[in-house]
Amino acid sequence: MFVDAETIRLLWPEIILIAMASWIYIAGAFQPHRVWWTCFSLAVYGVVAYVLLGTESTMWSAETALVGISGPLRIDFLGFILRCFAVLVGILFTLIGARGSSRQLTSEFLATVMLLVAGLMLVARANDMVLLFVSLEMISIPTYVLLYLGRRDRANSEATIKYFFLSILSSGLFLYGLSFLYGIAGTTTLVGMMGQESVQAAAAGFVQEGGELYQAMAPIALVLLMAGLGFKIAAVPFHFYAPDVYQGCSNANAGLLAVAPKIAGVVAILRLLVVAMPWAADIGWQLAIVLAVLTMTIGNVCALWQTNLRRLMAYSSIAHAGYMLIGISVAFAFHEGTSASGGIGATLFYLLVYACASLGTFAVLVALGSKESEVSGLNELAGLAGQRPALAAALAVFMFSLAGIPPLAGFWGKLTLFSSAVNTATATADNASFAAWFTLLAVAGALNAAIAAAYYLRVVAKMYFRPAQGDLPANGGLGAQAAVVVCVVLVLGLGLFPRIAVQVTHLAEAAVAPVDPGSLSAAAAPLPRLAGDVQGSDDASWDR
Amino acid sequence: MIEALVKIAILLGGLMTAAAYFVLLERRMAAWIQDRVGPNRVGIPLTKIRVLGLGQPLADGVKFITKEEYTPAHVDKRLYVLAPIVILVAALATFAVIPFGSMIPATVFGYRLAEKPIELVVAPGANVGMIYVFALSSIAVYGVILGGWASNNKYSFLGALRSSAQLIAYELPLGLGLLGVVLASGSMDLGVIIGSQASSGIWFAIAQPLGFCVFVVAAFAEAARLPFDLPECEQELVGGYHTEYSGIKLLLFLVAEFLHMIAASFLIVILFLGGWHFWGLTGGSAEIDGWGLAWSGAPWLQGLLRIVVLMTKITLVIVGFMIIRWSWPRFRFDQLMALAWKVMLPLGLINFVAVAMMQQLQAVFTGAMGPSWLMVPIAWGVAVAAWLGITWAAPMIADNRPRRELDPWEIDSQI
Amino acid sequence: METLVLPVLLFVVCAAMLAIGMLAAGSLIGPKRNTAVKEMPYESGMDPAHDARRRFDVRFHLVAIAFLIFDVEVLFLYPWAVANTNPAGLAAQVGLSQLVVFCEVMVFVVLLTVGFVYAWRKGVFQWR
Repeated sequence: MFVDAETIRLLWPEIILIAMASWIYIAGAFQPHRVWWTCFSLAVYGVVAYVLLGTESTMWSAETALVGISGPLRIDFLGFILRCFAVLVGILFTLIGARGSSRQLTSEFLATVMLLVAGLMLVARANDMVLLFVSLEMISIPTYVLLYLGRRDRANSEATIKYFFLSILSSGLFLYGLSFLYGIAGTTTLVGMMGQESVQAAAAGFVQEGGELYQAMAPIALVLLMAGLGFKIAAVPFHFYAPDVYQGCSNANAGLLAVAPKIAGVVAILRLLVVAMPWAADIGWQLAIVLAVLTMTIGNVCALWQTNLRRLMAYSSIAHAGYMLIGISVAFAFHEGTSASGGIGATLFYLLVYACASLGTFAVLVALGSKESEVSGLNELAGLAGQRPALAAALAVFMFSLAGIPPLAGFWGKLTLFSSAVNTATATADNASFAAWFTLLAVAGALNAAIAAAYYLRVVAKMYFRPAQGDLPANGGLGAQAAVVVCVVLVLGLGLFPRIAVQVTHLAEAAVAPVDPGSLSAAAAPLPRLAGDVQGSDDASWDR
Repeated sequence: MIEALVKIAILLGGLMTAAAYFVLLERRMAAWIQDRVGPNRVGIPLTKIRVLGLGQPLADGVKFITKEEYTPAHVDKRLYVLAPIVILVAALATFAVIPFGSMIPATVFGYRLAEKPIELVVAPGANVGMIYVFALSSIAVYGVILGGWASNNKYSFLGALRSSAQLIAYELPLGLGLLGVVLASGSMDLGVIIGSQASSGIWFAIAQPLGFCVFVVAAFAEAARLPFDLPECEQELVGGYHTEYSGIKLLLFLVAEFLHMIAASFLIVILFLGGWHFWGLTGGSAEIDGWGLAWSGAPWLQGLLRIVVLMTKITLVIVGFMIIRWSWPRFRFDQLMALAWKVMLPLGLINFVAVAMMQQLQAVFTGAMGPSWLMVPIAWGVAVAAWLGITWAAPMIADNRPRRELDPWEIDSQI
Repeated sequence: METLVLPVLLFVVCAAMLAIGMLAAGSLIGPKRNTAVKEMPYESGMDPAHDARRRFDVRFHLVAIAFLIFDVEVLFLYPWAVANTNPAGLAAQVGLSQLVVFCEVMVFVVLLTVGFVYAWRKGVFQWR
């Protein structure tokens, strides 16, 4: 696993981001200027997007979309999509949040967002436990800083501290799980884990020397990793921080919390748990199903009687984490021997759709507020349709999408998720427990979608059918409005033309998990390597 | 085992005696600088013979032991007793990896002392030597903090806070100054570092003047010697962290302080001034090879000569410590901190980068890694350039007026 | 290993025995005369106002944090410094170019400097 020139070439977008973030930190400390630095950082994102598309030009056609390994990186279509999306999130968040930061600290805000985006891009790429952990920390640590930068009052400080302590706890759990995983696999390389003899022993249940031990350790590793990553996506036993923290921090930061850790957590679960640990799938799918049902239900039911918008969105984000866990359980079950795939693609599609709508919602809230007063109560939105028809319409679009009303992106997201669960249930009719569990899962999901519609539609009803109570400042700035437009276009576009997105996500799934469950122990053809001599053949053995 | 015990006995005895007599030397030097006589009366007991006051340390020791051993009521008893023990043990244990000479041949005057030549260090071949020294110097901070906290006295507490802030602030330049030496010699074993200087004949003070300056200043601060003796500045804090200590416990603190100074001189001499090496006198090989003394056929003479050279250097450095103590005023605390963070840390970084780059360039062009005379002029150029840069920036760095007295543009342009 | 650790351990034990022995000698030989005034904390003769352990300036905390950050970063440089020059170090490792590692270390130092300049500019090292 040596780093060579090819690895460096593939990392250029991250290198540019980190170098420019350093530059903004230093230069911004000498010359604080909000508009100037905002434009500068947007230009940096433009350059990064250009470089990204250039370095990954092989991804443009399905034939050349290689799956390869370079150093600690894995080059595949999933990573490509998520890297592009990370840059988009960076641009949107810069637009939404830059105005809210004080003049002295604008450069800190912008540079910290850049570091966070670099972390997201690295998570999408990581094929190594160490790199994965470091890049997850590269998301967490900037998040603490951003939360603190958001506002300067007691509620915000409390939210920041709460998030900080729980997040480091979850990082600790995650790291502990990684150590177990390393103990089982004997390597830090993710795709290399499958080829390890010890892992095969655990997978096949060989009662040989050490085999039982490994079998005993696999659930521990899985549960610890799931706990650490469950915090990031706000899945149920680890969800309790979300409402308080969202409520305490600013609208823009709540948008960040709803999106960035969730993307990172889901990608890490897919890469680490689903792809690298198929030998733990038999516990994995049960765990994921239980978590999915609990998370969906608690999130949606608790959201019903929220009056604070950020609290409402927090429970909504918990509920959506539950939906994504459906896809994850399907992906786990795929390794357990069902023939129905589609879990990873559906999760990914849902993640993108959710991120657009959620970020758009918070962008609307930012646009409706001003630097002095933020929109936070549900009642403040009353009669918005008369006062700000455009923003009200945009918010309605996002709410409908999150609720899953047909022509919008959210509908297709839910459809692919539920259908993947149903597929798993029907494809494995011979296995009664599988069928029952996944049918139950699909039913629970559908019921939850109905519950969720209630509170999303309540927001819309407030805006359109209630008299106005007061005038909202609606002074959030041009950036937030631009972000609203971008999100609306994405949600509508994904809703009207879902085929492209579904195809893209299926391509990503095909790249990430071409695992034949029967060939776990069979010697497989090594990965095609991009360039350079990858040392250590055991790292590269990977079942196609 | 026996060998180690003998070495430990020699070192402990030597160090305690040295600390006692350096106190006398310090008092005599102070008197000399201030044009007084100093302690010259205590001589051989029960006679009227004064031997330059050489009995003074003995009398001091007896006095300390016969003083009241007293623990005030308001202190945290356990920590109060623990603090002087911690600080003395840490100060003494540092010497476990510090060589106090080169080697003694296995056979002297026909007497067979050991199987192989005896290395004059308690733990020979400690390849983490400098890390060990750093670790113990950090433990010394614990002693100070414990003493200050346990005393439950405002002077002690302030002194301990200041002292710990100073000690940890100067640990950074200390480490950075050392980094250049480690890079040049490729080892943290103090014996190897001396050997590398001896074999090339280039002392690191010559090869890395900037690193030498940084290290010496930081070593002064770590030993809490003037001009950095803020931890126990008598005039403001009436003794700082050991205000509440008396009798034998105070003695332990004072001895530990002197041991810190002795350890700092050992490190300065070993890391930067060539250790036991002197050109044309001791030979450059780490082994005792009878270099230059072949006519006498006595390798033990060479070993002895090396000890003498080392001890002479150390004594000179300690005398330097003392002259500086009695001729320099004390820093103010903000100046002390500014010096550590704004002058010494950048200088240390510059030194490290310069050494690394010179070595890498040399490796690329000549293929050799070690120090060479070629580097010396460049290193001195870097040192002079850094000095000029600091001189130019000094007004901005030293500006510590309160913020309310500054104009807005001054706040903005201040470093 | 044994030859390295044992003497150090012996040395520490001997030093501790020396220190404790001196303390014991002092407490055995010295007189004991307690008075109420002696028990008070020394504050230049004034009656002490309150407990000494109170809140203190947060700048000490800042120094501690800055020290932790920079000291840990500098510590990372030591292994490289030893391995770079030592003949048994990098030179002996197959496949690791000394020049590449050197460049990486320089990148590390640049990032260290970025943090240093930023902290300086933000007034972390300003003691007023």
